[in-house]
Amino acid sequence: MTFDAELHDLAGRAVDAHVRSDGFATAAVKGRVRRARRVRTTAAAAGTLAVVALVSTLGVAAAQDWWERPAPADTPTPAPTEIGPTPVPEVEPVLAGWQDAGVDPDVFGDATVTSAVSVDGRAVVVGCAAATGTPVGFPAWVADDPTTWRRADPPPTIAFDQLGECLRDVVATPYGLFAHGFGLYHSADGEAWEQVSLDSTLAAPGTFVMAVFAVGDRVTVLGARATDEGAVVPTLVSTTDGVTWTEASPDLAAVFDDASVVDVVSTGDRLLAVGNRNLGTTEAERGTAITASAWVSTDGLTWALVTPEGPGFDGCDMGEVAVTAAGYAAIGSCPFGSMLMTAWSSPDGTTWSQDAQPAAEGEGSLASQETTAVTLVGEDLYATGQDYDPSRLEDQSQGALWRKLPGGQWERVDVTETGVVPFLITEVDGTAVGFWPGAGWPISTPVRVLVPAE
Amino acid sequence: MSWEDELDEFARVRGPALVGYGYLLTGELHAAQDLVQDAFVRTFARHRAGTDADRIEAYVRQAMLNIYRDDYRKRRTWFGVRPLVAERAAYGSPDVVAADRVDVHAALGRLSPRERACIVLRHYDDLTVPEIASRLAVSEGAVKRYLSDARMRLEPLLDDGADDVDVIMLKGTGR
Repeated sequence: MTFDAELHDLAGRAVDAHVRSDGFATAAVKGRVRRARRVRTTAAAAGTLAVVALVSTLGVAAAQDWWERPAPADTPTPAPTEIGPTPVPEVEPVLAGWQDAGVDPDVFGDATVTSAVSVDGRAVVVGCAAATGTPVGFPAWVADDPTTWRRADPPPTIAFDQLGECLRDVVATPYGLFAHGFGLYHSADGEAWEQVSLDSTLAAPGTFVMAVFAVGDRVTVLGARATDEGAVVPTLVSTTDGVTWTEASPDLAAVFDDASVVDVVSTGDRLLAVGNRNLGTTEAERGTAITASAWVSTDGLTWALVTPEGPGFDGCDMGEVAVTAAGYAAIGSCPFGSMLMTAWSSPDGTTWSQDAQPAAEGEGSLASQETTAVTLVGEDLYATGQDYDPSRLEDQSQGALWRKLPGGQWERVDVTETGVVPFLITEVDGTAVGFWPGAGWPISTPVRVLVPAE
Repeated sequence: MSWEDELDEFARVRGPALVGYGYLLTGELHAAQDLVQDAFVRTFARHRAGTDADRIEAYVRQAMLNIYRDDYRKRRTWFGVRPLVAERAAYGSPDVVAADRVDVHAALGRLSPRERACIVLRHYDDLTVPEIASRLAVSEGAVKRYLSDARMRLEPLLDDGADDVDVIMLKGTGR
């Protein structure tokens, strides 16, 4: 019997044993559900009352501080209930120079944000529906001023209520906005979205979009499909008029064979992509041999791999890249290497070196760190991710924040001391806005919109 | 149909299979039943009437994964300690479910929560590495690492050693 069949057999035996034991009564579950629903209803009503009362009596400015400190003593409170006064949520301070914009966290629900872009003074943000909790629908939001955010209109006829669904990126192009993740979507204004079906190649079963990028008048979609042997076969499809899409020669896409592209940044006349490549030729080898990789292109069609194989790259993957005054900074992880917070620097996008890693903090080889987001705030770099240590009896996955000051090295910092940091910094109506937490933060945290302090 | 009726119907029709799924994650029947019930509470506390059963099941399965990944270990001893103190109970006297499947049961018991979740998602749910990464909110590289480590841990504990590992590594979905 194969291992897969053994697992199915084991699960089947559990099903039989469960049925023989009369299963479980649902009465207790219903009671817990009712209590949970009551708590949610009470909390929602109290929260709404508190915000409305705060805004109406103290004004918007005071409401903007609501997240930063406990409400003033004379703040009107909702009518007393059986469970007592509504506790003020305990929230971290904000990084010096920034402040909370006071956006109603319910706008983002239980979602996290993954990418932001600004077009004509309007900001558009996409993200991930929470893995649990209330489905957020199509995870895209728009704002015409820093404090007023609203849900974008989802593509018609498509249900977006799966938990954990992600839009990984949103990109501004000459032909409107494109977002991709669990599909490819287009919007002329960020407000209303439609699904895009390019052609039969990209629509083939098993094909997914890895990246969308624009340079000049060319917009290109990098798609890929997995073979039965576990290989990744890439496809480049592009348009120069926003209407007609043409598949590029497979020879051009071959530079992404067995690769995973996670992030692409544009620096005007050039594109830089980061991710990883599989080095093996069998499925087993592909499962263990990866190397952090970066590619550059001037037209979106002809790409060149610029990272070497070997120490500092093998066993690692790059997850996100930021443009800095000194060049580029990429972050990632080394699941088959040090398993520590990992970052690389490049002065020009083509020559890369691994930064010194902060020292290990966990219990030996079992602990691991994964860096998933990077942001440049002024001249300082910040990165977030998670710190996983199965030897901890509680909170095995913890959020982690690292900082690199100009001329310095990466160091672990405590968010309760630094304050929450703006990630995905973009612009709304001329004002910078950022978001906390960064992508990949493992703890359920309401999205906070941050703006420069007045 | 009220949510209470939907819950009854869902538990009757889909509950047993979910317990089987939970058993692969937890290795104990009662723990699996607890896990399913906890996931029911999380799901139906925010449930909208009229949601079809397939979608509810997707919610429950994801909730089970999250509870298992984030909360379950809080109520259990760490896997690295557990074999020392519970080996006899867990492996020497397997429960009724694993009576003659002690090898697989024991093998799974040697894995860390993340390794075990990756193995179940890959070999039971037939998910790809990117899909597992998305479900567990970790990178694809991390999933590969957990799968690789899990396979190394499983190798000496399965029937015929290397042959089975070949089966595990090469068989199946081809993705």
